[in-house]
Amino acid sequence: MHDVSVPFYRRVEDALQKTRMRQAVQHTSLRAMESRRAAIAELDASDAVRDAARAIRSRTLAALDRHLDTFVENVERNGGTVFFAETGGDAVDYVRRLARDRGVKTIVKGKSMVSEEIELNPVLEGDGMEVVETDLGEFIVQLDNDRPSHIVAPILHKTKEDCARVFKEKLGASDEDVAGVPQMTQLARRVLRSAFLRADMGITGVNFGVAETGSVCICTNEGNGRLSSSLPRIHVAIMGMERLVPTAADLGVMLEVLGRSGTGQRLTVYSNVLSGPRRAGGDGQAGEPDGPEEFHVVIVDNGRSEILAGELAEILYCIRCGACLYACPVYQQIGGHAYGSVYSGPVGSVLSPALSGIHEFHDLPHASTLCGNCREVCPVRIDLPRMLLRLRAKGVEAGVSPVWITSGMKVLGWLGTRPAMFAMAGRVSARLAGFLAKDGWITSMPGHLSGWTASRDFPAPATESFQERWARRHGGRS
Amino acid sequence: MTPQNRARMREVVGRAVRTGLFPGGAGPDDTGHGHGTNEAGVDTLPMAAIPGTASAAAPAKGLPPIERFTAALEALAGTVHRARSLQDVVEIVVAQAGRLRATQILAWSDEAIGLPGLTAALAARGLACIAGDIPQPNGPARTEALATLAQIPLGLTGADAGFSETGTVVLATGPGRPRMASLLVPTHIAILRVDRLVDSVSTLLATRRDLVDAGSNFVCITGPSRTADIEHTLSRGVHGPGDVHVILLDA
Repeated sequence: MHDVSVPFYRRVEDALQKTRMRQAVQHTSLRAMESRRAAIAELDASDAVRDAARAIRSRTLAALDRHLDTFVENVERNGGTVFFAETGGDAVDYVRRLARDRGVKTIVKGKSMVSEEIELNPVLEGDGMEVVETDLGEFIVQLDNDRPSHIVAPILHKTKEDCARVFKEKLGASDEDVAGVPQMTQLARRVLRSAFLRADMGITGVNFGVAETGSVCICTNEGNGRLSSSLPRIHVAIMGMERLVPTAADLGVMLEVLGRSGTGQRLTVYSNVLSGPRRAGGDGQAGEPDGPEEFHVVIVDNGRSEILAGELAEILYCIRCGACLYACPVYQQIGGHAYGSVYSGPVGSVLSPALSGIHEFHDLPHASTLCGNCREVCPVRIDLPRMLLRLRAKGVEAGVSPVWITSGMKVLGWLGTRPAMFAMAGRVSARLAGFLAKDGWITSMPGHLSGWTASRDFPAPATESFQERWARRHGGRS
Repeated sequence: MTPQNRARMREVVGRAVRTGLFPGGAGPDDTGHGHGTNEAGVDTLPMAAIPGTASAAAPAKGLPPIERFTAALEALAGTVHRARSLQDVVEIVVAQAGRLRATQILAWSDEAIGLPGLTAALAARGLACIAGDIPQPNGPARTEALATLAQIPLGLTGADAGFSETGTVVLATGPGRPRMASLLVPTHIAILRVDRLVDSVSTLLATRRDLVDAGSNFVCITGPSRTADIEHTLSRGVHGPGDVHVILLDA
């Protein structure tokens, strides 16, 4: 799920050097924000719709065990098979055993963040199976041995020249094949169409599971989700356990906000709802002419029930639209890779440490200015800043904060409870800072403090402290 | 699902639900923890209480449903045709097939489309409707069927509903209703009776739950297949049909 072998600050520094990547991310983020704004504004009472969507998520999670039970019952009624995977490993094992058992050689995949989270592809490939990502962006990521940098737009960090290079290097494409975006799209269509026609198994993610009908809903624009779930003999849908909505009516509300928030569309091109394998005929009645023979849903926990049980349960309201990534000033600067997790941006900064533990991702909650833009754009109004702050506190409690912060805070706490010492320390540091200031600005500070002034100037402190001023004006009354 | 696996799911998730904090909602409902029938599991949301979900898209507001549908689909580079009779439909399909030099059409059955005599009328004009059955077991028959279907340039389907707000057609599978007729082909023509138009997806799903699991697949199709993965630049026809036509048929 992650790449945290290099420290976060180093990853950020690396990202900031990649000028082309940063331009690509900023360009796309700003365009996406604009189309999202326009699409949301179309709704008469967009705030009320978002409140309704939030209420659905909240109600569903508060009784998730019951809704999951109803869901399982109805998937089975439709002729499907369900497996509850407590860990990512359990989910991988289930898919692997199924694929081996059915003699699967080629697997086509629709976009699935959970499958990246549980690192499914390497295991299946290790078993000698051909695994083909079919979302255009994910296909390019796979060809280039890269990683997705946005949950909805996986190659946000790549320019079209980057994509052309990948197609030429990995597929031997001609100059005409990569002359423009439409040409590259048609090239990918040709290559992937043959994979669809020979595949034995299709694996997709799930946007929403519907409890009352036992269905999974997959939203795509390209149609690869439809092909992956319809053409191969076996369809496996991998679903994070929080993805449920209770009813078809609830699904309708969620679909109204997902496309608008995610890509600025009123609806994604295909809202594809699957209820079991193809229906057989009988009693003189014909069956369905196509569709898979087998339909499996793998419900993935992998740390979610622990989140559900705690004070960060609200992060499970997320419908993975990606709007908070585009809206985040930090994400806009560093892109998705620097986060070192499948889930980046504000939602990733909460979800990654919540799923994997604060030790591995303790830096991410600090990758935020707490400006609140993420909460502002969220279609289900998740209070991301609240959770980022909570995780920062957890980092301190777990002792994973940098020593200079924890010891610095101790010193500050000690001083803060001793007014005379505090006043003196204030006077001393103001004098010292005064020596460093030139024309009212401090442009460089020594030692550990140099980080403050490396990329910005610091205003010189007032010559008189607040306490001194108060004493002077109020004649010593406190 | 094995009974053990299901019991484990109930236990793990049930335990979590009892201690979690779920801000912003009505809180846990009081229907208890009995699993049970669909009805017991349903939390209905009064759609009328949500202004906006069923309302018009701003630019087309005030237009009648057919005009709104047309404006929305054309904005996505889809094409809308009007028809009053079987004969009108045949002419439109023949014209499109001629443009594509198609002799075969991957098509829903007359019964599924709701136009008796359509197949015969198209056959009289030299167009063969292919039913699109894909054999189930792996083998030469299946491979051959797929190879044949993959060459057909045109698909023809009915539609169970449409959304005027978004230019969407809604298709449920069943006998004589292949998924591939709206998916594998480069050009898809859907025939939609105008009396099946509703405002939006939330309107339909609030009232027509039966459509959702009527067959194994229920799909809302909003314009041609598209992608904007590369530099947020729009490109059509990446996997599904790049060319979508809707024939609005007066009821």
